[in-house]
Amino acid sequence: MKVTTKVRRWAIFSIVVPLLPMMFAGLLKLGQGSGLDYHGLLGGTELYILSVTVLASTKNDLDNSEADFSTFRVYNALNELLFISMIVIVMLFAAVYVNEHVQDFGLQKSFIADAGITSGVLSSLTCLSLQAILFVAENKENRSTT
Amino acid sequence: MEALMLFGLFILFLCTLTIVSTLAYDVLTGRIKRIYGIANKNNQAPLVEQRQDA
Repeated sequence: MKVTTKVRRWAIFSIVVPLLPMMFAGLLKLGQGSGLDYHGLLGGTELYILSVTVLASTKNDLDNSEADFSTFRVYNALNELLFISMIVIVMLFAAVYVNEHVQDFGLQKSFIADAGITSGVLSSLTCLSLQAILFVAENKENRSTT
Repeated sequence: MEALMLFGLFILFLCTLTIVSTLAYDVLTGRIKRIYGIANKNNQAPLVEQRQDA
C-alpha cells in the first residue's frame, strides 16, 4: 500500500467523516440565509472529541505496531509526548464540557471555538507525521520478514 | 479559566513542535533512512528491486 493511499484513507476516515456533521450544519445555516458564524457552530466540545479520538487512535497504532521502536529512545519519548498532549486535550475538553453543562465559568464561545480549532489542527498535524513515520517503519518490517 | 486553557494550548503547541521537528529533522538529515534501514551506502538499489530480490 502506498503512503499516499494510507494518508488519504486516514484523512478521510479520521478527519473528513467526523467533520461532516459540522459541515452539514454550516450548509443548513447558509441555506437559511443568515450569515455563517463559525463561533456558534464550533463553540462546543465537538472539535475536542475529534482531537482526542485522532490522538488516541494514533497512540493505539503506535503501541500495537509491528515495528520495533524499543531500541530508539527518541521515538519512545515521542510516544510519551503524544500521551501528554492527549491528556492536555482531555483536560481542555473537560473544562469546556463543565462550562457548558455543569457550571458556567464564563468562557466565551469564540474562545472555545478558537481553542478547539487550534487543538484540532495541532493534533492532526502531529498524528499525520507520526502515521507517515509508522507507515515507513511497518513497510520496512514487512520487507524484512518476507 | 481562559488563562488555564491558554496554558494547556501552549503545552500542546510545544508537544506538537517537538514531535514534528524531531521527525522532520530525522527525515531531512537522512537519519530516518539509517534508522529504518531503507537505504545505506552499500545498497543504493531502488526499493522495487530490493523487494524482487527478497
